[in-house]
Amino acid sequence: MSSQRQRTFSRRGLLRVAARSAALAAAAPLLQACAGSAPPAPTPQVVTKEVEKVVTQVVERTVEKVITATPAPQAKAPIKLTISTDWNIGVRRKAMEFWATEFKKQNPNVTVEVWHLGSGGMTTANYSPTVQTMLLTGTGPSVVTEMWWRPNEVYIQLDDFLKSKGFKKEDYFYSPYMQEAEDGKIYGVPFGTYFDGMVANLDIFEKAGVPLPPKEWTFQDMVDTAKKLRKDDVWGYERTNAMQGGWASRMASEGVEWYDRKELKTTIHIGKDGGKPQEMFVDWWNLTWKDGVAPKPAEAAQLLQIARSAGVVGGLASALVWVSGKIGMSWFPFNQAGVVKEMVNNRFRYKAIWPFKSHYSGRRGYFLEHSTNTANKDVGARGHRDEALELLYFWISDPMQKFHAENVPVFPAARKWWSSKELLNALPGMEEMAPMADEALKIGLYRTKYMDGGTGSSPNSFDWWTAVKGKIEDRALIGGEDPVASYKAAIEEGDKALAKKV
Amino acid sequence: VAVEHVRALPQAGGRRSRRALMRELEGWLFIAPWLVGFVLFTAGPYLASMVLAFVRWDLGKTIEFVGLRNFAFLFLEDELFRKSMFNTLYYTVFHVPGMLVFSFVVAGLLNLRVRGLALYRTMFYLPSVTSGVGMALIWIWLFAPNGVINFLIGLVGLPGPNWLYDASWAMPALILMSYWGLGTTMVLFLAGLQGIPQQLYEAVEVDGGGWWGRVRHVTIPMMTPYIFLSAVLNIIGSFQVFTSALIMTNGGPDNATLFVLLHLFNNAWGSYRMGYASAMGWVLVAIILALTILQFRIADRWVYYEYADRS
Repeated sequence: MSSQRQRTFSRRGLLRVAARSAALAAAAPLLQACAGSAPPAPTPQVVTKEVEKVVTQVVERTVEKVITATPAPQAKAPIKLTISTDWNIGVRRKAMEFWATEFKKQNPNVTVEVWHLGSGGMTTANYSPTVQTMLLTGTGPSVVTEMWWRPNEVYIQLDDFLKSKGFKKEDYFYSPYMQEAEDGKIYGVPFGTYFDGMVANLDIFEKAGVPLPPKEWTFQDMVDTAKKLRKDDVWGYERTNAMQGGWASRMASEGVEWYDRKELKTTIHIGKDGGKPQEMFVDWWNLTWKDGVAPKPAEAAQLLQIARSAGVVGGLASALVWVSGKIGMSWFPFNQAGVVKEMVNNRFRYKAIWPFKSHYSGRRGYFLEHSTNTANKDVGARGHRDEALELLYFWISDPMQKFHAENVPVFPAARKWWSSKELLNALPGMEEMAPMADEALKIGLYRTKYMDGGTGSSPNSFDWWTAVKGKIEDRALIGGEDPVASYKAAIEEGDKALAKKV
Repeated sequence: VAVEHVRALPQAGGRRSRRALMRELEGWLFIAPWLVGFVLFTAGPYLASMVLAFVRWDLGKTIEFVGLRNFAFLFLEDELFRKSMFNTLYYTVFHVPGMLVFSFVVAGLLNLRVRGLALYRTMFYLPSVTSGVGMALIWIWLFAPNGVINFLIGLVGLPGPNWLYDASWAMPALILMSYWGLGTTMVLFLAGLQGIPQQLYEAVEVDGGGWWGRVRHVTIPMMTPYIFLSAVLNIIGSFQVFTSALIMTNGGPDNATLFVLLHLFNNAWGSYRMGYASAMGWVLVAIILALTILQFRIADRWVYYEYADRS
């Protein structure tokens, strides 16, 4: 193929083309003369005057423009940035669209394309592998949302950039275990405010004539209140099987840490300042399997059926039995408050309440989750580093945080919006959220301390979590097996998982 | 003329004509999309995973050569691999025979001349072309503690188990669900049944044989090649169970439905151990290959090939 090309543009070929062009140029006047009906040529004097007139006009206008005009701004080259997300439906999809369109308004030369990846409810199963593969093959998005996978060489270190923006950690729901690397350098900006509180169904409380619990109340008070709320088809309390709002929060109130990474030992049985994790777990287990205060898994499934009949859909529905409207008190995922609002859809009124305190430690228990947005390092090579960082930062800037406060796809990451009128208009009953979030940040148990991607977590964190979850959730809380034996088995299996050296 | 033609042949064979070259090029062009896809997306990853099986590569981090350490850990230390292998075999032992029997029975029924046959065939085949995720979601609902299956069990006065949330019942639930996808095996059997010559049945009748005689002496022997093929395919399929386990139970409760492929996936994308997961993948290939070879060896003893006898 290349030899053919060479032959086509050989010297002889070029000479031939040149000869043909010269012949055409020479032939042009002859052809014009042959036309016959051409108008008579103007005289030289007339031509000179006309030329003088035109030249004078052009010069005058040019000089005028040079004197009066301000220097025109240099147009920026068009740029395309991309965002990956698994927020694919409802208010969360709208948030992504808002991010892209608002950023474009402020940066007209930048077009933002949102890549909706994954199913929206199964991050580990499909969103993460897709984005990870993209990042490793150099085809990743400019900005990555909610990715727990954290090899820092893949992302841009943000310290200098955030400093130039006047970013202060304390203004946000910030976690050193998620946003930072082990050396304390920042790689991600906070995604939202994630912690579990409690919620009360106001309709059920009013109907039963039971007052809402005060700020200072204990586990035992909660059990008593739940008993008062219990009616034929109404349960007083939902004891979720999941970590969030469930057993992790109970361990949090007892002051445990997940494991000791150096000693490779599970520490979920070691309490602090009077905390008794194992006893608390047994009390928690008793709520369904002994006391009958909360529905058992089969009964919870029936309540979920009620919720589905009322049009509740989505993965979160199966974790929040209280959206059925048949449970007096339950846990509340603040990070998904807007999604929950859509699920409840005004079928009943609810209000966030202060979580009860442990009757052992006297502390409340909060399970803290953090998520992060990061910028792909490859944007540097693509020549879009600055724009990508601006896009990343836009998430925690006022326009976007205001959108979060008004629509609550996630609770705003910025502290100043926690008690804003926008947020309270969108979610009536969240008045206590801001002080709760403050307390949660002080005493909560960070999920990111154990899971992969979290600073200081074990490389075997996935195995550890699977092993512990298998015993705590599957065996004890869902299966109803002996809670003490299951708890001990969880510690044993957790230790084995930590010690694994693949 | 004949002599000239014969002399011309070697020339034609030695120097291929322009037309023959063009024909060959056309052929390559037609298969090019598949070929490129195969090299890039199948053969390439195969080769890459073969290399990865001997390294430690935690996604996004540096690669370190570890020799056979991944394989040693797999066989000697990884309890979850043993558990997942046990689960996979458990599934295979109940899934494959059940699948063959149910498919055979359904194919036999659909081979009868009854009204609405096309509709029945479509209905039974439909699950085989339905999305695995969609199917899994429907079965989660069916297996719910207050789902349709427990409702039906309740009608005969028995308590329904907590199917997907009970470590003892989760695997039986997945096995039961797997029978729903009998469409492909059934179609294979149906084709086989329709190919059995009628005169063989008539010969049995002439010899005084009844229904069982026809089945035993004609249907089953004539169907053995189809049964063999289905057994091979279903065993391979059993070692590749993934979607249903991921969506319905995510390997739980307490690893009761952790299949080998799910364990592999968890290592690759949960713990980012790409090297170890690759080693596991190749061990899985070896196991499937060994089982398939074994089946082919045994097949000579029980599979009847009509055409082989004729030759």
